[in-house]
Amino acid sequence: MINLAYKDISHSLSKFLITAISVGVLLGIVIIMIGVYRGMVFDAKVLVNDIKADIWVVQQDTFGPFAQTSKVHEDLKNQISYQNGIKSAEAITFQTFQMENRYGDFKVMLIGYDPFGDIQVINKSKLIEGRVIQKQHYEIVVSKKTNYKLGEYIQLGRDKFKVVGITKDTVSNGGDYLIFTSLKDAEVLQFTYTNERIRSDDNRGIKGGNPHLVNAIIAQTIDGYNPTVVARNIEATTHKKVFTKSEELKLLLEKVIKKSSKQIGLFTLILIIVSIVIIALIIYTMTLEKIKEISILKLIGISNFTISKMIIQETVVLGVLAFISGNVFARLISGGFPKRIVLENGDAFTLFGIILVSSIFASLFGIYKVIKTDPSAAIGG
Amino acid sequence: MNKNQSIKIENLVKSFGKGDSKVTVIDGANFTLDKGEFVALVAPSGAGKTTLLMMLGCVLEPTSGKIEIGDEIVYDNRWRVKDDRELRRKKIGFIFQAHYLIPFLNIEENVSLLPYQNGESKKVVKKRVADLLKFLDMSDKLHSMPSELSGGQNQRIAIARALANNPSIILADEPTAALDRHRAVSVVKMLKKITREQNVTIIMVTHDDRLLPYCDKILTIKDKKIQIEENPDEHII
Repeated sequence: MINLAYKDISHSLSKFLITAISVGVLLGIVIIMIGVYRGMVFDAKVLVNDIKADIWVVQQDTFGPFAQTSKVHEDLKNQISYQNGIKSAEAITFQTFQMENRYGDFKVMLIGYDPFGDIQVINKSKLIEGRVIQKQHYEIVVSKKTNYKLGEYIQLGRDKFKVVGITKDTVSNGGDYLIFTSLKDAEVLQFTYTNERIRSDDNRGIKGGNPHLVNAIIAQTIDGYNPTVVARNIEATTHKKVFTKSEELKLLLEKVIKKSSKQIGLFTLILIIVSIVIIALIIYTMTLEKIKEISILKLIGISNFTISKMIIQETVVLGVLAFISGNVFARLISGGFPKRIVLENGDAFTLFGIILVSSIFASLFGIYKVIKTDPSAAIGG
Repeated sequence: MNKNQSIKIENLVKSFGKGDSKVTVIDGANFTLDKGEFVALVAPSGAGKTTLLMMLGCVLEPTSGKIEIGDEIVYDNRWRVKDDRELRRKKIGFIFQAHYLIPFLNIEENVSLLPYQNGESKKVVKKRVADLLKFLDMSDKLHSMPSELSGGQNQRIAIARALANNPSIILADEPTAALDRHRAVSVVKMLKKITREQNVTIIMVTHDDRLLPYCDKILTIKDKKIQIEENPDEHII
């Protein structure tokens, strides 16, 4: 038996491939958009997941330190560390600023932490070169994407910092690259003002800010203690707001990136719908382009089953080729995006399923149209 | 019933439209054709030649009347066949003004498409296609595409396709219209040879009077009626 779909595709192979690749590029863009959404959600959780803390203590009545500004005294860590169920507690600061080097300018989030503390802030599995900070001053660990090299010196404020470690895939919830210094250096950077600012503050009667304010106290619980119970106990005995790690992650998703992720999610949904319509139209047009040949086939006695099989088979082959080329396209270009793109096979296969079902549905319209066509129309009778 | 009967038409009527816009093209046609007859269908343009051919091919539904193909009643004021495509596939061959070969199939595939669809074995189909192409002097074009052949060559392949399913009748709608005089005569001689050697009935629509001498009978449509006459000028080929 002759496979009509195979013969038709072989006869106009280049046209078919160009159509499949074009559809694939469209699918690739949808896959990228899903990846952008996934990347945003992933990035939002990176920092909280990397910092090995079970509890986050922040300013009272705030959702700090990511969803809202939070300022607490550094020495609060001593009070927290004596709480029931707490193994260790450390102070931590976060500040974002713009940096510039020979590769361009970029936004970073500087994290100040106690390099001699017990809580791991830099995820060692992401440290690809060098080491973590081992001195109280003038050492810095940077993200690879900042393009700084190991041993290079970076001018920050009035001081120069030596790059002692390079990390990969470390970003803030906003996708900014992370850099790490000691808590002391971070406090200096945050509270050392220019001479002009100091004079201006003096003239206004403003005395220098408290250099020992931090954004949060992070703590680890003793094994066997429930972090939620410990957090509620701390809340009850201090005038602070306390979040467990899972509560902080939830805050990030629900308060910090909710609108952005919703926006991208909706845009992706619209893109999927538009893609389905475009692909359905391509399939329908492809079927109608063959209406004369199909009418001849009907006229000489070829069954509807054989004709429908040809159209469905071509649709499936087009869908598979588009799926493959779409994924190749998405993977090729995903590395060029400034923010993280998370490509998950599950998303790609789900999209493939949706596109395939809608394509077959569209081809059924085409089949209905050709089956209804008067075969004698093919010969102008 | 005449055992040699190939096509029998009784009181066949075909009208288009309804009410005031109703147009009757064929009005009460009656004729019988025997197996192995080569019949010309002659009439002015718009008289209903293609309409008659399409009704005989079970493509167009008549308004009323009766059509028998071989010993099977295919229409008796309504379709009597369950699957008109199956009937065409197994009993009828078509040749058109243009070859209408499937452009994405090569010559062998175009000719073998119907026998395969009829469930015949690869061995049988391959032999029949080879025999047909040999008969039509096209054996060397087995793997060519229609786009690589001339109009005349393609028309011969269309004849091979029409014969490939061993039909009892072939309906040819101006099969020589696109050919020059020499090739037209060549095709008509070939069709005549087929009727004789394969006992197939061929109804050929033509406007070319020079081809009539090759036909056994002439059907004419005049004033919506069909007249049939033995061809007094028939040449024995």
